[in-house]
Amino acid sequence: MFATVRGEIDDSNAAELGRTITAQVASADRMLAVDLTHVSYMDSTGVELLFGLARQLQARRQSLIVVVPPRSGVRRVLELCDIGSAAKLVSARDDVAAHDGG
Amino acid sequence: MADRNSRRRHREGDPDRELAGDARGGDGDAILGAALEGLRRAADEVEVERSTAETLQRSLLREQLPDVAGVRMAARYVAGSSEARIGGDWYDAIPLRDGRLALVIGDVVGRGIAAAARMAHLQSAVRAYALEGLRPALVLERMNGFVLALERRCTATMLFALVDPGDETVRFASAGHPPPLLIDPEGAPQFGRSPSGNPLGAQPFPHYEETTLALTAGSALVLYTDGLVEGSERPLEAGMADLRRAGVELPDEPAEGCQALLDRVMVRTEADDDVALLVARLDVPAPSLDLVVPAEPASLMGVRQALGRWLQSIGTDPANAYELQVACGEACANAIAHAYPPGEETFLVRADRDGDELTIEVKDSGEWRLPRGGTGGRGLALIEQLTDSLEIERGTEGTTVRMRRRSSGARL
Repeated sequence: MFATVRGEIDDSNAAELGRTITAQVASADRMLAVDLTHVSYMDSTGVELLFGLARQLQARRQSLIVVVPPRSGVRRVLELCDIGSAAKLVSARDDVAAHDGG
Repeated sequence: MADRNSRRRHREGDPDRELAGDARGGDGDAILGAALEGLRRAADEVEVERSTAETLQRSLLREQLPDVAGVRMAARYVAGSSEARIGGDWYDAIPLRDGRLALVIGDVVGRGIAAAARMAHLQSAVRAYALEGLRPALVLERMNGFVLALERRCTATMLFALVDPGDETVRFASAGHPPPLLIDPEGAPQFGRSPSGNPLGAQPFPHYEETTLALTAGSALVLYTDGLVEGSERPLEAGMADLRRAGVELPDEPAEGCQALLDRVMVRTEADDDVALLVARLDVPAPSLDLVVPAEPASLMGVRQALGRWLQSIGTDPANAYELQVACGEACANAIAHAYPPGEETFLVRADRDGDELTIEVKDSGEWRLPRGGTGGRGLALIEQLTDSLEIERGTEGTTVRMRRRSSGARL
């Protein structure tokens, strides 16, 4: 299941974004892919949101994949916060299929 | 009247053949019907050509120009009044790797799709030469050769200018094109006179000379085609005088400047030429950024936008600017979390530069506490990773978070 996010994520909207995404994930989904390709700004609140999502998904044996372009600021922030420990980072939507079911 | 069969043939076939066929039938109405059909098809073709040319031209001449550190730009294209409407005027802005900006204005002879296509060829060629880093006179020499080598001979005038925001200069050369208008920070206009070389495609061995003029921060540069200043109703000298006068009170924002110039200078009559116009304004880098911010999450976006603009005006590249915005955003989010009572307080954001070193301070009047949810820890760690130094001063009056970093991103 894909959740495509557009725009900027900060403390003013992260909580609501998290709730919106969580509400859409069905228990039958094997994984959730959050697509940040069109996100122009994200800081630690966005990262915290993703960690939180990963925890919730893990409890249901579901995995989290994050789609973010290779040389973007958003990617750098994610890597600095070690998102790899909670989710798989891929560069494009096409790469998600390879990780499906993982 | 033409019968249904002959009408069908008219849509598919050659109009002359259809007319002859109908004439053989000896029916006067059929000939008239066929002639009208032929005329209508010709009008349809012109309409298709006109809208195709317009679509092509619109896709090549976007009004939104690229973002360049320290320079704001806007451009407009106004089609001519004659039947095919689209002419061969164009503009372009090409940011170069070293921070300089190449600006182009040109005017290719012709109308309709053919002119739009030629214009596209020339636009691409200039871009290639500009990106090679060639100086203006050499760009024009290459362009002359390029135009001479085109399948269909044509001529064009062109002005190529290199703006250097760091040096505060503009260096340009002209191939038979009208001079640019420079407006200094006080609003005084002056044409940038230079020896005008041959139009492109006019002769095999042209000579182009460059002129370098001061273009200090706060100045504006106006490039235009002769359609703006020359027409059947007004001689060139009068048009140039009108343009110069309009430059005196040119609005600071380039988009408004373009509109003001079109309103005050352009004169439209039936037979007039198309107009291309580009206005560039060199930003005055603000010495420092000082913001008083309401302590609520909704303020975060405004702070990062203001910081982003300031960083761009002092020449920070986007990747480094992003990291600085994140570091500042983390400190701001914490200041907002400290505010008591929530929403009623304000906090301060200040950004300063000393040479290459940037300092960003976020000062609130609350106490530094570990914010709710423990997210503050991650934010703090992120600030440390994105800055060269981080100081937190806790006092009775409030907390100041001070972050320092080289604007170039080079680590201390």
